[in-house]
Amino acid sequence: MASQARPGPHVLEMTTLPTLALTELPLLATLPEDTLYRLRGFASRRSYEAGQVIALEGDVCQEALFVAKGLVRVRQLSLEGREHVLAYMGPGACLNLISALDGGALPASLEAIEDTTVYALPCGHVRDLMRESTDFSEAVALQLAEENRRLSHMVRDLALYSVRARLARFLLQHAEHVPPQQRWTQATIAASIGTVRDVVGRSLRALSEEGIIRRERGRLRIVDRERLERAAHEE
Amino acid sequence: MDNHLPTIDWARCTGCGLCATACPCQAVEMEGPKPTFHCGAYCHLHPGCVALAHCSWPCEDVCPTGALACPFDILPE
Repeated sequence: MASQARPGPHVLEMTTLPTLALTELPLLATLPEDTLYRLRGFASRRSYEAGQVIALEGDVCQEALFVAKGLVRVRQLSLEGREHVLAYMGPGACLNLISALDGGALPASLEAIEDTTVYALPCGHVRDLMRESTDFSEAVALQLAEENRRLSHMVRDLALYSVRARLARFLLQHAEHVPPQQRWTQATIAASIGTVRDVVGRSLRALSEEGIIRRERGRLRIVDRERLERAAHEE
Repeated sequence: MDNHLPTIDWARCTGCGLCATACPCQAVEMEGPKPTFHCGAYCHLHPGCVALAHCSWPCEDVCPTGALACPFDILPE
């Protein structure tokens, strides 16, 4: 069963940011230099070790969190401990933009899966920036649109396609990242495509027996991309 | 050196030994109730090893509790 530890005493460092650090974040890079200089007095940096929980689903958001370094898993848990991963977010991403804008509770938990550094900016300042800067507002709108589109595709896949098809899509998508962003297990893939580990294991064995993939120690190779793409559209 | 060996959740491992039985590479052995992992005689991963068998993760497949996980990269051919 997946478990969650409360965050709190594990913040390693909080320091005032240099202005340059804020320009590393795509959303804030749209802002003029004097605005960034003003913001640095309100922003802070926090470091999390791999495995630390940054925030929990349901927490009320006081600050917008931006990934400066590392990788964060965004996930939801059922009461029985079943896990669904909504996203893996890396440098530049805002982890909780929706909550920062509407003041609502976090829709998912945030967990560092590598040593991670985040920059935190009070939510009130984010909303002020929306009023002050049309460039910033536009960048926020575009990010929300991209996120909406991505989640719509996720919902479509969960509702309309078989586990085998979702697995095929997952493999095709992640084979494009060279070098690979991270190593996978059957359990982490299951959490990403809305199923359980056993089902992923059976599906991978079937794909292997059909000659579509080949499993080696430490590697899964796509052998027949054409057939895998056909499998990705099975209902 | 990362030799791509499985990871194990000791809270779930019951010491049943099915992983050791299933491994074609002799990379898993039982030491009492606990499986241990090492590059066996038939490991094909490292230069100089005898390349006899492909590991297709049978240890993870047979583990009844999900204690074993074989991390992997997803790669095009």
